[in-house]
Amino acid sequence: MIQKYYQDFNEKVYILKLKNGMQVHILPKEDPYYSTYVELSVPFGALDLSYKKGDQIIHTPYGTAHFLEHKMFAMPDGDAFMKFSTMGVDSNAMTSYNQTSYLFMATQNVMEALDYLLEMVDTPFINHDNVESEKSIIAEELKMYLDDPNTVMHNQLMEHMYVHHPIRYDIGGTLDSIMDITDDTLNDVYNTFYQPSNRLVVIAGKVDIKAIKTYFKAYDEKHPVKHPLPKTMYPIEPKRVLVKSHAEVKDVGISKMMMGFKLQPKSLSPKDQIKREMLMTMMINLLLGASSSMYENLLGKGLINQNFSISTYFEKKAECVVLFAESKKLTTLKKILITFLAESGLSELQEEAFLRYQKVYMGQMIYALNNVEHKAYLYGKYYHMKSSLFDVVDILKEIKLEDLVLAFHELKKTNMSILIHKKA
Amino acid sequence: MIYIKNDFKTIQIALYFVDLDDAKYSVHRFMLPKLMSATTDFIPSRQMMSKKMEELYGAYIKVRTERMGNLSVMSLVLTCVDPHIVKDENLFNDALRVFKDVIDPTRNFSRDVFNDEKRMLIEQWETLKDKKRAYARERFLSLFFENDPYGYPLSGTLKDIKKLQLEDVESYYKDMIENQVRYVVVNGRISDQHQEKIEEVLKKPVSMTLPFITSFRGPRPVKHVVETADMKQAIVRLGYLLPIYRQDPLYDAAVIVDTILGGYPESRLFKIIREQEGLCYDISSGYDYYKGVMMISSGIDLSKLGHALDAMTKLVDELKKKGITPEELNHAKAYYTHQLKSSLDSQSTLTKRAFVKEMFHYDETVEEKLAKIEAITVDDVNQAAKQLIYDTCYVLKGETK
Repeated sequence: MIQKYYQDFNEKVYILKLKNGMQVHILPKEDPYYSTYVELSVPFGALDLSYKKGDQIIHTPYGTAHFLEHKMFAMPDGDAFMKFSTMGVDSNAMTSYNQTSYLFMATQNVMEALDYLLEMVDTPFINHDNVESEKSIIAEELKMYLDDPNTVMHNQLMEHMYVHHPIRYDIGGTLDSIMDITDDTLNDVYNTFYQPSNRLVVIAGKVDIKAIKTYFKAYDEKHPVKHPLPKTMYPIEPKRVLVKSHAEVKDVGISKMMMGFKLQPKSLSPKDQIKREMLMTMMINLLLGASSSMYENLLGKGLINQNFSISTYFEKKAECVVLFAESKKLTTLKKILITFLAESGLSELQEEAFLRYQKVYMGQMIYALNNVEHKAYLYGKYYHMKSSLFDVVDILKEIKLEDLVLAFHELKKTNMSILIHKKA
Repeated sequence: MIYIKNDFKTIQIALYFVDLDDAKYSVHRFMLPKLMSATTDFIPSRQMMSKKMEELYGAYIKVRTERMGNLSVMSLVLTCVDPHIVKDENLFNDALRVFKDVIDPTRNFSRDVFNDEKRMLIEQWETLKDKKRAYARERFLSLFFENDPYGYPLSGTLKDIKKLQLEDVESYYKDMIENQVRYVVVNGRISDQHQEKIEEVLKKPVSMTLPFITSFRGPRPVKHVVETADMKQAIVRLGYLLPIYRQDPLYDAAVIVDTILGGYPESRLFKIIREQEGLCYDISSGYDYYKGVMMISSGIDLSKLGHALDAMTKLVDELKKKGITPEELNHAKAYYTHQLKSSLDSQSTLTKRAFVKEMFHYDETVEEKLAKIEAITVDDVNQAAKQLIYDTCYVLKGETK
């Protein structure tokens, strides 16, 4: 077992590397602490739709990873979600663009729940009948999102920005695509991506390290085979957006706008990729975050409200910055934002603001460490990005104001897509 | 002043102002904490306040106005990182200084910020119908709690907001800061020096003198309201009376009724309506122990709405008539126990709980509470479940083809 200590944060990590390739990372929290949080994740998400199997390339429908996440809870003797509840344990799962996670939070029966989590992930009980019956439930989940105008706009903007990349579609897929998913699709995907060698288990909070070590030693003996890691493929995406501007009249209370900048992904080392994500997010927040002059100005002029938001996406072969605003004066707002982001905003990237934002990032890291669930999630996320949560602060320290200035020049009018839902 | 000393990586200072819930002042109490935390006399603009908080490693003041029975509770909670971790000796004092200025009795409020907040609140109302779930919730509450303070919007009505003037808020603030009941909770790694500073800076708490009433009306004929919107699902909200309150002997049994009905993945609503019948993705129940009511909510497959409504009401009727099994009770108890224990690891929950315990004089320890949960019997739960009375059904749905 490898032990690491991060003095700045007073955090310890114990790492178990199993012979089958699976890794177990333990982030203990000293007493008094009651909860244990366990997250098992595989680096297989909504964007991993095509993969190589021998010489063959397999293509799967949109929403496959999310569908499989639902079906992993099916067990020969009933629903695993309910079984966790009977143990007095809170379980859940989530699918992102890049990974799928199965998790639970327990204050009792920790080892039983851990064993059951592994049993669940080792027992794909996926057949024609239970796949068909799940379709109506997932369809209702998708419809729930489709009844939210902001989600509809986001999906539409992604379709306008991307030509081939699967980020065009919702993580859950579409009402049509999920109908094409079969038990064969899911079983094949399971066998390819869910092997122990592709899994990470993070255990955080109240832990019995000795018991965990003993458990995984036995587990490794039962599952000795190390499988080769699968190769996923992504379509070649043009630099330009598909639709530059689109407006439609909608039955909404106030007109809404989404503005997306499609960025060109780069081939970088894992560390540089994290750095890129951080500096790009920092740059756009310096320009339009709550402490920026532009935000204050737009709010003061009544051009935006509290729903104004900035999002950044740094996914496999797809990166973009998206702004959302509700406004009664959309034309004016649009004009100001375009000029600002394509030209005048550069002067706002000042050393004083940059240093302040570095402190914010440091603070955010500490807030994350305060919450065992958030800590474990971020730990897993950075692990799958081939880095470590605790190295993020060092990466942050490497960022220079000049990096932000260079990043600003990546916001190009030519790669911008605007979507407007105008109030009827 | 309540101190909770522990090893969290952040420090929280929470201030709670309590008054009787009065519709006349809903809009004041909703707007005021937003204005208070947006500026101070020394930090006169929103932008400057944001910059200041960023300097303090992204410290933030979370504000909220909520109802507890007949009381309105307004909270301002400052959270900042533990200065030891970032090795910044001035951090705590700087954060405390901002908080002091936020609640300074003689402070001024910015007219610009007031106008911005007022406009944004109006826009929130104007876009409410866009957010189908929030709209359905608001409509349901107004129907279920018709003629009751709980049915009145927390933010006040659109008319109240439009009528509100800065001078009204200022005068309400002065009265509140001088006279209203207030509690302070400090949570985190606090040194004796910090403690002295806090006591010096924050005004002493004023303990509860207000009557605390938990009550609701009696039964009425079931109210059915169906509305349509441009949407793909049907949002269903059902209201049941469950006249068991926080201080009643059957309170914990009522929590178990809620758990078994729709409080967790092993609940009947989840197992039958979602898993067996595939009628929805989300379905859950919630118990409000200040009003003695149980509410169910779900997003239902539009084409099966009639069947789903029948199935949901039938399921509650069966729970009332046939009761629960010992196995259901054991599982629900394990879940309830887990919820209680895991909440002890959340700094924000500990802060809020300390305030509620102090205000209502709840002196039960965690161990006593766990023993109480363990002692709940099948009969207790059945007795509680029998008190459920179907009252309101609200549906917001798309047009069926």
